[in-house]
Amino acid sequence: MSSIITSEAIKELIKAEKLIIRPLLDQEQITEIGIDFRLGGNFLVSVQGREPLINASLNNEFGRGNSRYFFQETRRQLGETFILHPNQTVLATSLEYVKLPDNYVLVLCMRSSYSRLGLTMSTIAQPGYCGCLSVELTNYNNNPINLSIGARLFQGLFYQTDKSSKYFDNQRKYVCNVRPEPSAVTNDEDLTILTRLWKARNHI
Amino acid sequence: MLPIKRLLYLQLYQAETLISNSRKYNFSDTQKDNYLKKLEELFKGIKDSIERGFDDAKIFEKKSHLDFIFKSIEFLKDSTLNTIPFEVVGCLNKAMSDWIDAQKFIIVTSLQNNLYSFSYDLSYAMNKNFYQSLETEYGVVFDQKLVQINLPLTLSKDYLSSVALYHELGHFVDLQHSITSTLRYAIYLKQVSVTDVLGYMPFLTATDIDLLKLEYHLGEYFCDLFAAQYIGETIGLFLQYITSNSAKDSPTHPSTVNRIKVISDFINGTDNPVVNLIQTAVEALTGKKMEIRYSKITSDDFYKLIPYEIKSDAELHGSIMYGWQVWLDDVGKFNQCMGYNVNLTEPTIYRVINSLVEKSIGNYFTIQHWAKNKV
Repeated sequence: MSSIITSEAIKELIKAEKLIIRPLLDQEQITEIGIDFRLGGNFLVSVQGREPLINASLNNEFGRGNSRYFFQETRRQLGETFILHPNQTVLATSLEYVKLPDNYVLVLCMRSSYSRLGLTMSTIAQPGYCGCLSVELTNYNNNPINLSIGARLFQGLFYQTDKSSKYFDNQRKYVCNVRPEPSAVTNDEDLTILTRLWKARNHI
Repeated sequence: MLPIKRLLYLQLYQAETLISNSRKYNFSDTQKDNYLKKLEELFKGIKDSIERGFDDAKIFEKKSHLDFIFKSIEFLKDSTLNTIPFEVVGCLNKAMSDWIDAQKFIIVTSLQNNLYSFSYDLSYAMNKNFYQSLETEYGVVFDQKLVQINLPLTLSKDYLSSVALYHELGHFVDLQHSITSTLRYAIYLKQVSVTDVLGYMPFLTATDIDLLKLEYHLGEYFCDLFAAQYIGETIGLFLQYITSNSAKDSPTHPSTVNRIKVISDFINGTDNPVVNLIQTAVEALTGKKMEIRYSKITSDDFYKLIPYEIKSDAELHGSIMYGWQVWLDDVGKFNQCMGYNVNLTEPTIYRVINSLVEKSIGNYFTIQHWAKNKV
């Protein structure tokens, strides 16, 4: 049965170089039940694009709406701040570059102190994933929130899987990213099938 | 009013718009903020002097002062944290501080719409009289000066191509120490024998030596050697490609074949007359020696798809060479080091190498800043 691993097991994995975290600025980031991750300095900020909507489908009745058109890149240095406005979503990354063992899933959650400010996010990294962790941050508070680059915003929990899997055995959309990448949702093969189906049913 | 004076007013108001727009730039760097404030101060001084009335003979002097504002803002605009190749500039700053007081200069970049347009902008680097005239006319003193490097917009985040920037930085260091200009005169005055270097600069056999060509060629050889100190043979490799390995020289550049030979001999410690000639001048003028300042990285980290943990400034420069090494290597090594077939395509490998070089360099600076400020 899968379970969350604790600090001793995490340290063992790091020592054996099965789990890579670079940089690990402070050993205290390893907590009893996981690792605290820091906010990195690269952002994709959601902006209004010229297209009417972000098209997460391959159906083109509303135009292409590639998600890239709706995000603008910006950078900050360690120690600087980034202001997240109410209801704004930004794509960010962890400061740390991570390579996961083949038999662990990493679930990233907001640390409680930041959740209480109204920040939410959700990220899961699959076994064998390598890259900075991509994070979608949204501010549900009524007020802007000023965040420090390098602050410990996230806590990562490691779940052991019941068998190993090779990350690159499947086609991967996100490989070794160190900056946030816009969604590649339209690369999902299912969407091609669904669009074909839609066209056939509607005689397009 | 003279029509030419109306044109000066035209440029004055163009500069005013430019200055006004420049207030939106966010550099994440107080030094650049301060430089911009100095430009605003300078503009105010120029505007006041023009509005007070001035001698028509000074029209072109005023124009040159406004030109300076345009040129400086052109570079500052492309040097915000969002646009500047931040990690590479960090490496260049380290290299610059080996040769001059880096506190007196700010490296800035201008992104060009032209592939391979790597160059160094000589406009104001060494023009002490110009800065003096700004101080005399308007009381504005620039405590720091800009090191202006042009690079192609399309390659501004390409770490493999960044090797060319080390060569361009060499031009700045050369100017600061007057290396090739001094050497040129020493050759012209026959204080230095050139018999050994005729194979590399055949035009020296002419009765009337083309002094400009001599200075250009010496400058290029110097910059190649300057770059090779930090990034080894990769500078030659890149050069070979962008110049199509030309065997012919030009008025401004020696033949690529000769340049590669000089670089290669320097790196391998093989006796070479051009290296000796420039080394002697460098030592006499700077009190420093040109030497290998990189550390070659032998690691499987990139093949294992993880950033390398850089341990020293020498490895910092070496990390760019490491990126090249991985790019030139057999793609099968990724499979070997990952322990299974990862099926990385060539375009993916290109992106992965760039990401890993960027993260390795970024982590090195992050760790240093953290350690310095952790009490």
